[in-house]
Amino acid sequence: MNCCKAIGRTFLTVAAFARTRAARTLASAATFCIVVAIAALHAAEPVQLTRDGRLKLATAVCSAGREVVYCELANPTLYRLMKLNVQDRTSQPLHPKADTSEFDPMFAADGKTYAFIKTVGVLRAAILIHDDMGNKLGEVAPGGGFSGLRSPAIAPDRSRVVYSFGEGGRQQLFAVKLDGTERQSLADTPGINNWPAFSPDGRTIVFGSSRDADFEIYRMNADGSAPQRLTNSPAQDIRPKFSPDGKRIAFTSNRDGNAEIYVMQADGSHPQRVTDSPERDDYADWLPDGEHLVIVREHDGWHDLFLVDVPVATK
Amino acid sequence: MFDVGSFRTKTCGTVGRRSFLRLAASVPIGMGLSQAVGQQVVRQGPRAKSVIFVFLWGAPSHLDTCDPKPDAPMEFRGPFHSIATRTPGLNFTELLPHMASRSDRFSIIRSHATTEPGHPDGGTMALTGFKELPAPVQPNFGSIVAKHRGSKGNLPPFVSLTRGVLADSGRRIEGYGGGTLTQAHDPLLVGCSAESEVEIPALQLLDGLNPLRIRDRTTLMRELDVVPRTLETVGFDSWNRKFQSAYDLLLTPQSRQAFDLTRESEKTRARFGHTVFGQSSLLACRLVEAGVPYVQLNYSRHPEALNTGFEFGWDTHLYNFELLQDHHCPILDRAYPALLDELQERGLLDQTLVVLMGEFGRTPRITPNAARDHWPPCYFSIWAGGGVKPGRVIGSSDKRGEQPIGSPISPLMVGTTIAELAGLDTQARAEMNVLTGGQVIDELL
Repeated sequence: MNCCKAIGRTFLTVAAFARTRAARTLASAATFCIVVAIAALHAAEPVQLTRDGRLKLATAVCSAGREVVYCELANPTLYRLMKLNVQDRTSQPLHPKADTSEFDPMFAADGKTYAFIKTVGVLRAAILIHDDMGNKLGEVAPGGGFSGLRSPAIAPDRSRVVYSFGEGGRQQLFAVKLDGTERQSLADTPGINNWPAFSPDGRTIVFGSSRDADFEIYRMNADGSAPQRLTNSPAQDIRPKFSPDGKRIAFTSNRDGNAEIYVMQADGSHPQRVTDSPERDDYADWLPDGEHLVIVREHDGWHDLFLVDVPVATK
Repeated sequence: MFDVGSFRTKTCGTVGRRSFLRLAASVPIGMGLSQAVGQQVVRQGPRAKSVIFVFLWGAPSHLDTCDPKPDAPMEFRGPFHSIATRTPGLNFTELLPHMASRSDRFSIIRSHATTEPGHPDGGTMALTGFKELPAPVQPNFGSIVAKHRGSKGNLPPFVSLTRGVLADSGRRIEGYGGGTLTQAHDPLLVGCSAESEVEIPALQLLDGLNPLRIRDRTTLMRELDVVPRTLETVGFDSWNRKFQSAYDLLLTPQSRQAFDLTRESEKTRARFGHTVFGQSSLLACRLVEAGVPYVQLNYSRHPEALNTGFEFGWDTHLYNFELLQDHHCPILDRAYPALLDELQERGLLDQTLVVLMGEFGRTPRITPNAARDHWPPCYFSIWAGGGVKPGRVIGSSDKRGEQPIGSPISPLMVGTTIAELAGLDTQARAEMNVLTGGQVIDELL
């Protein structure tokens, strides 16, 4: 009898709790965790896209996901851009005649216009903007002395190119027109501002900055207004990229000990680790389906491009 | 694969191929040049049977690597987070987590200072302890140890791991070799690729020569007979003196094996990372294991970080933070810990002195273009094995990393300490007339 009373009281207590907001929140969180766990269980193994093992920096998905341009250390003195055919896994130099280092490739939404950094002298590097026919559309020249620009990003409407440039003892973000003219400052704070990337609608720029201490991810309006910090970890969070639908951001972080790829919501919430490798995972870019990322993975001391699934739960 | 390269023929002299053959045949098999000039008697047992001098040419930023200043103003401290090491009170930046996790195996000096602000002169100072001028140039620390210790078998006593003499865009480091001890004590230059291929630039004179087929001098002579290119334009006199040791080492299997990284498992090669510096670090380990007394393990042949046609060094006047984050520190943070681990596991660390340093530091104040320039007044070094007490932090820099606190430690003191640990006591150094006036860094011992 006493046992039945106890069971009855417990049932009533649980039923009452289930009607509270806390319970709904808990249930929601639990469901979210279950989805993450299921997604993790069903995640496909990463697919290796290159096999040469050379040191690689940067990935840029283009041609509607059929090709990926990346940067590799071709020999001890030269970084060059390579274009990978995702289907047949073959790679060719993007600029076969390039005899100076090139890096930081970035394609516009049209998949044809692209920008990259090219060394143009001793410790000098410019941004070049090309179309897929090899025509030069614009150039942003470095300043005097040792000077170089980094991390170009082309607006979806191809109206502007945003980039990072060291000036005045800090690294700022600037925007120019596609022909390299009409420079405008977008982010001028102490520290290093780098890796700008546009949202698909062109209204927002996400970037990394050390303005508050170490590197964190920030977003701002495309005109540089309303900067907002999205991450807050004791380790570096860098190289953010908007997903094709603009709802998520992939980035690199070493918050768990070594460099891994993470995905968070566009407002900075729900950061989730996408890769889990004992070595370095970095330089993520999205495939158009929003379900896969191309990354550079260090594996057994080699560096290759891999295709990794993005867990469904990050959507 | 043990690959000595493409053997491209150079045209820099007038000695005929037959002259070469006669001279080559006149050198006794098994006698290296160092043996020919004689060995010094070791008066005191060396605490370090071998030395690996890891030279980060170009000069790494001390604030962004091993001497972070997280409390300095933003225009000094840089963007990288500071992390704890296994040594109480010692922090590195987040770019070097694996080195940080092994700090109990080494000691660090944070109060170095030098007087030379440029690369070739600063490099000479770092490698010899003395300025280039007034002439003559003093010997590299490796040449001093090599002369004192001599070679073992056909292995050279001093190997510098690089594809050529260290040079910046203007000129070479004059302190790369024997200096006042003569060219007889120059290092043997040995290159190494990310794919574990070993290359000896000295042997690149002869198109078609296949070192894998060389088993003795007769075979060498026969190989040379079928070499498609002649030696008629090769400056043989200088070539012979510099490169005889390269051929000597080819003539014995044991010597060849020391240079053959394919004898290591893929797991071991992976541990060091498939980069030039990573595989060179493994080669340094093998050479020490084989008995080479001094290996200068160069991060790059050139100091410049971004100069067309030059290897990527630590001279980060441009893109300092990007290069450290993307290129240099990941490579170093894999290879150097692997080197310590491998030496430890092979029972070699106690008898191998490993010194890691550049030629100076970099400006604590971030430059207008958001990078860092040369900074001779303050930099760091790391010492492991070979008689060094690990886990010590010796000296310190001020709050902004601009000046050492207390007496600075000079390159001459570095060389003197290396020599002392390698068995050259005060008397031996005096008899050789090297490292004059140098003091041992007692805090390391």
